[in-house]
This record gives sequence, C-alpha cells and structure tokens, in this order.
Amino acid sequence: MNTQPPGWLDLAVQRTDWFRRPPSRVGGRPGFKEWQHFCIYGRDFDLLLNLSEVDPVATTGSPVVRLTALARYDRWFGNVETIPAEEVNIRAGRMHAEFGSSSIRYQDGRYRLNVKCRSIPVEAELELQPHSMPAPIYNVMTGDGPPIHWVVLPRLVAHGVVRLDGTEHRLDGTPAYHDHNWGHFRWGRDFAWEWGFGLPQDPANPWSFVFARLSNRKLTRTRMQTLFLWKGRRVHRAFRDANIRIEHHGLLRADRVLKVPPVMGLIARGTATDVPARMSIEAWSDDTRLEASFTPKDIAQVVLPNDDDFGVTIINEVAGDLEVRANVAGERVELTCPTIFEFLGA
Amino acid sequence: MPEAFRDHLGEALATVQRDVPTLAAELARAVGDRVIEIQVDGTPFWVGVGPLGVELRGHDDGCVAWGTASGEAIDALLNGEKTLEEAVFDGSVQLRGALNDLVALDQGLRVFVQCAVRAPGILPILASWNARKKEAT
Repeated sequence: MNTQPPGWLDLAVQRTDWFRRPPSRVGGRPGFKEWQHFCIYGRDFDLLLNLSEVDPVATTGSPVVRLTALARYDRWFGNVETIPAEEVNIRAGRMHAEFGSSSIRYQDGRYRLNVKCRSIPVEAELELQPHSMPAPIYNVMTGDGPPIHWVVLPRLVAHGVVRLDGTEHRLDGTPAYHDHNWGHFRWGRDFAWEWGFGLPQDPANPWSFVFARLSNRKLTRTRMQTLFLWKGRRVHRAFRDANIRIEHHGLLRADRVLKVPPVMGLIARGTATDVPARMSIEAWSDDTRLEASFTPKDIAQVVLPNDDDFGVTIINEVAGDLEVRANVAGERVELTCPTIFEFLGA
Repeated sequence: MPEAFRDHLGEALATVQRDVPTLAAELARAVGDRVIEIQVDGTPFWVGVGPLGVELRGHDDGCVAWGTASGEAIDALLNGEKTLEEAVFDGSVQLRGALNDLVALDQGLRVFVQCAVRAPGILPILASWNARKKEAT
C-alpha cells in the first residue's frame, strides 16, 4: 500500500536530498561531480539507475549530464547515455530534474522517477516512498583532494512499472535503495571506495544495512569506514573505523564482464578485476556484534576516463547475495537478500 | 554528415585536435612516423601524422601496418558486442605488420579512444555513424 510517510521523515528528506549542482555554472570552481543513484529489487530483476551531472574532463564548458542504466535478470545489460544540454533542466536546491525523456522529482513524500532509455530497452515509471531516515555523511576526505558528500536512504518502497528488454514488471511494494553523492573529487586520484547495502524482501523485517569504506587507491590504507544498521525508520546502531573489520577473500573471476559505455571496453580490456570472491564484515560495540558476508555473482563495470591522466577509473557494480547476522542488545537480527555492492578502483 | 567510415574517422580525428589538442598530441606521439592502411568495407584509406596531428592521408606505399574490418565489425566493437581480442581471433578484424608496429597501432587506438571520450564534439559523429545503420534497415 502506498501511504504517506510521517511528516518528520518527509521533512528530513527534503532538507538533505536536493540537487547541489556544479558551481562552475556561475563562475565557481570547476571539477564538480554529483549523482543520484537508485537500485530497485524486483522478484526476478535488479535495476540500477544513476543520473549524474559532472563538469567535463580535459575541456572547459557546460557540465555533462548522463544517465546510467544497468539491469539484470541473470546477467547485466545496460548503457551510459549522454543527455544533450538542451534537454536538461535541473533545479538547484530541490530534487527536480528533467533530462531527455526522463525525470526525477521529490513530491508529496515520494520520489517520482520516470526513465526512458534511448539506447537500450529499459523504462521505469516509479514512485519510491522513503521508509527510513536519510543519513547524511558530509566532508568525507578522499586523501589528496577535496571531500566527498553523501546522503543515503537505504530503504524505500517502489510502486509502478518497470519494462526491461520487452518484459513489463508491475511493482507493488518492491524494496529499493537510494543515495546521492557530490563533491569536487577527481577520478584517478589516490582514493578508492567500496560500499554496499542490504534491505529485506520481507517488509515485516525491520532491519536495513549500509556500509562504506574509503581507502587509498592501492587498497592498503583505510581512510574511513562506517556501518549503519537501521531498525524501521531510524538508525539503530552506527559503527565507525576501529569497530569495523572488512576482509576480502579470494578474487572473483567472471567469464564475462559488462562494460559501459561499451566503447570503453576498447581501453579497459579483459575480465580480471580486484573484486573479491567473498567479502566479510564484522562490527562491534558494547552491546552489539554483527557479522555480514557478501558473495558476488555478476559484475558490470562503469568505466570512466580519469580527470588528470590517460588512466581509467572503474566502478564495479556487483550483484550478489548478502547475509547479515547480528545480536543487538540481546535482539537477534537476520537479513538475507540479493543486493548490489560497489567497488571503485583503477 | 559523412557516410563512410573513412569520413567519420577523418571528422573524429579533426574533432579531437580541436577539442582536446593537448591529448591529441599524445595520439601523434603514439603513432609516430608510421603510416597505417585501414580498409573498411573494401575501401582503403591511410592514416598518419601530418602538420596538425594524426589525419587521413592520400595513398601511401610506405605503410607499416594494415587493418581490415567491415562496418559491422566496427559496430560490434563500439557497442561492446565483441572485444577486440575476440574480433581478431574470429577474423572479423584483421591486423598485419611487424610486432612493434602493431603494438604502436594498438597504443594509438587506446589513445584515440581516450581522446574521443573527452572530446564533446565526438557525440554527433558517433550518432551519425550509428544512424547509417538505421537508415540501411
């Protein structure tokens, strides 16, 4: 059932999740990046939609708006589409954007996301209602550059229609995830990140999970790590840095890796990645012990040209299975779900 | 808008010179003094470094590397339906030359793509190349 969220939650979303937009548009500092990221979990598909606005690499000029769409039944397919500047209308200070044949806005307590890809058979007409308090994480240092900012809403409920590769899916209470990033960081500098989330298919399960780790490019030094556990709408436990241990086990070796935009496959060749075959996460505090395990299944790579050199930055979007078990002040937590983890590196 | 691959490539080379001249100089360095003969859908043309950078040239007997493909094979590479290695192994892209010249050709291809993805003017050229396929069907 599509109901109105409580007023305080609606207000929290409105006050944290709005387009910042590149300062270069009005003579400010260039090199800005911002994106809105949505993941939707149908019964038999995953859909990742990302709207980005970034200052151009290696040239001056207007910011470039792109739509990245990745979808999968058993294998990823997708593309990155550049939206012509004359078809872009993004309003700073609000969650309101029209781009090509697509749009996003936040209105009446829900995100209204309409996406119509031009190069691939992916369409969505969705209302996404927040079911958890947003967690704003500002001024996260990336090492040798300006900080990155992040707002995460791990749990939304999706209603509407998704059309993938000719098949129509009607959604009525499907779990969804959203985050929003922005900042002046530059692709190719000395940073990497990995993050992931877990949200239950069963709406009666109140637990939602998000973790993130920022490290140097070589993955030898962690700069920040954080893990949130929501119960219902509110953050119930938050763990930081020394109370989290993340380990990679082995390396995932896929027989096929989707690369988008496809032309970048001419530069970033092969299927070898540094995505682990399994990742384990532990977190603890005085009254809580949490263990999570992520097992990747399928990789799509978003390949981005570096800002300052001829290298590339690869964002691995990794579909897999997550298991979270925790004891929170005597209360048992269990969460098993499909999810998408992201691993960014060279 | 151009029709043949040769014309699209010529426009694309001019566009990277114009939009990202510093990066285009890297492309000229990668190609060096080599002349490459490319044949797409049976039409040969020649690429080398001229006064303004890498450009199309007239007939040249001094080629050191040769590449042959169909427009369809190039579509498969651009659309990610096939990797370059797969195309070489199945023969839809054929490359000939001494090893060091082929390595330079490959490096030139990589640098060209790096330039092209940073050049705002490339998108209409790519759209034009893709549009010819739709017109044909």
